[in-house]
Amino acid sequence: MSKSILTVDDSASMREMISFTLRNAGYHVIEAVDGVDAMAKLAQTPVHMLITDLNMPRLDGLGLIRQARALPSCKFIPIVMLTTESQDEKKQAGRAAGASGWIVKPFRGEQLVAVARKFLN
Amino acid sequence: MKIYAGFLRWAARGRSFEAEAAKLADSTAALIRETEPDFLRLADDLKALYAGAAELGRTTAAQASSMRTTLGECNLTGPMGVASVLLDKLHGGLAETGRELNSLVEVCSAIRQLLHLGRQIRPIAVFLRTAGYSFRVESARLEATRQTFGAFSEELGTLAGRIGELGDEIESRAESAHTELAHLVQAITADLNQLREIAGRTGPIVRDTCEDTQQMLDSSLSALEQSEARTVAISRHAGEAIYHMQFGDIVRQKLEHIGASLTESAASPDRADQILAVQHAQIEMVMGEIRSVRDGLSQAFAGLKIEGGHLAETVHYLQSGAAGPSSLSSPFENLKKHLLHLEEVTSRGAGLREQSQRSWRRAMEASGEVCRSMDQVREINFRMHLQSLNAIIKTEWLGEEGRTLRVLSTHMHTMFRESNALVADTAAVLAAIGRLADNGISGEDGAASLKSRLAGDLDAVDRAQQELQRTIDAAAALSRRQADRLEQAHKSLEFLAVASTRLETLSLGIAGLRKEIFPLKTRHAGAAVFDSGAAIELYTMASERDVHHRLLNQKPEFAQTVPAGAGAEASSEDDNIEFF
Repeated sequence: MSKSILTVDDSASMREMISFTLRNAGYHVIEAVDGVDAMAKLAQTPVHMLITDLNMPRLDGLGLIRQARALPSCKFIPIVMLTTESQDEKKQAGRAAGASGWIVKPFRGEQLVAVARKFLN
Repeated sequence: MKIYAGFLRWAARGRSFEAEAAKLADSTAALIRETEPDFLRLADDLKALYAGAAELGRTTAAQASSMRTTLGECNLTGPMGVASVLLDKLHGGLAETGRELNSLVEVCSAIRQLLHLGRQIRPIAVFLRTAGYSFRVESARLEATRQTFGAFSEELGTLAGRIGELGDEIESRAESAHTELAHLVQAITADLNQLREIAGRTGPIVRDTCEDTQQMLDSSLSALEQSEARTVAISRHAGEAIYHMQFGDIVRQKLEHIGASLTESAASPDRADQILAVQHAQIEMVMGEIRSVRDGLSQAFAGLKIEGGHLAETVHYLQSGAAGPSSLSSPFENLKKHLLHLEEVTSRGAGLREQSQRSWRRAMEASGEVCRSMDQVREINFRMHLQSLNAIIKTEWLGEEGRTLRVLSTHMHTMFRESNALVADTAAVLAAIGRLADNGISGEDGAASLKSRLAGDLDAVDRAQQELQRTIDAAAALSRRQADRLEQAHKSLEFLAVASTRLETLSLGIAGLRKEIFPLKTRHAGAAVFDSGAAIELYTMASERDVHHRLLNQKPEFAQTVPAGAGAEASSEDDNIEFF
């Protein structure tokens, strides 16, 4: 059975790109439009990995990571930030919140797949 | 104080800064709203293009691999190729049948000898009959002789009758077998010659057709391998397009931020100049980024178009069967026709062999029958031997009276030796027939294995043809779909130009607003004429400039694997990836 990845981004086109790339690589992908939607989806279905944007309405990426890490099912899963932000202080904040990795947009398809493989295989 | 004075001058002209700023913010919001469906459509087109490229790559790679396997199985030319093996086996089978035929001719000649040997028995029978008659005449003349040889002369008559019958029987059987075999040998010789002639005529045609077909298959495989390389390039360009599309999304997000900031500037006149300066610089960056996205996507699409065109050419080449002299199916059909013809020849060769086997069995039957007759002749011989010795001794007793009979008895003994030699000769001939027949019947029948190999090769040729046809159909359909998608995606790029123009208007609007209200600040920001480079440097963050720089100046290496990411490794050496 393929591993499932929850991808969170408020941009529909970006969500589509991420899902498409990961599905092509054989992963089961669940999409969420922001942190709140992601938390609702996590409550319903446990996932193997979480990939989230940083700046989102309602609940941003850092808030999502903190809340997700409080869930027993998400305590040890890899969480990767996928954002246009590349400042060190933001990365440190992400690390402190519980992120496992940081990818700055734009990314190449094979980079995203390789990161997923690194964590999941 | 100066800022306030600017506002006052502006207000005196009956214009409201808040209204102008709100108008600019609305324009930005409208631009985002109106371009959102275009972005999504472009994303869909790119997704379809990428999926098509991946599918094309997978299909072509699988078909090329399958074709390689099939070609491996279907080796038409070379020393172990269909043509050579089949023709060698066919010629081998015909040569074997030819050798059997020669042996059959030898058997025919041996059976003819049996015929002569049977005929030679006849004089023995005549002599025995004459001897019996002489003994009876002598016995009638002398009382003593009658007592001694009365029964003997009777037996000689019986033996003469029996041996005569056996001689006739041997002669008759040998003659019948000889006639039958001679006919069979004649028929087999005619058929064999005909088959040799057909095989000789078909051989070069089959070889040529195999060469043609193999050449066509090889060049088709080569075309497929070229297509494989093309699909890798297509996939790379599609990946490149998707990469640039992400910048489109980044631009969209920036516009959202610009819109929000312009709204904020309307509500905060004291910070308005700073906000407008920053957003002006942001818009300048965005315009550059849109240009770059457009250029990147156009470049990727151009690459896709070129590779797609090459692929379509290859497909057309395969479709029109440019590798062969006529349509794609012709070389295969020709090959199959010739191979089937060869199979017919092989079947006829097998028929000849069966006929030859029947001849061997008939020769064996005939020799068995002669053998049984000869056994009886051997028994009679033995009896003749005993009787002749007995007669010689008894005629000695008769003295001068028995002289004639003694000569006759001695001659009868000589006759026995001749008959014995005849039996030995016949036995030797029969043994020779037996040996020849043993070899003939136990000889290997290559026809069955030849037919099986032929059936396998025909299947392989069929599979190769079907594989190739499937590949061509799939590649043609996909490449048509890809061309349509590409055209659609290329057309949809026009919205980026429209967005650029509208952003330019927005930029001019902000610049005009700033110039009118904050003339000193504008001068401070760069010059009377807006210097985007200086403004960007002054009013944007380092991280934003970093993204801007990456977009405009860095061209990443895109994977040449399908699907994207297969075999790729993520490492911290990638400057946009960091693991904690």
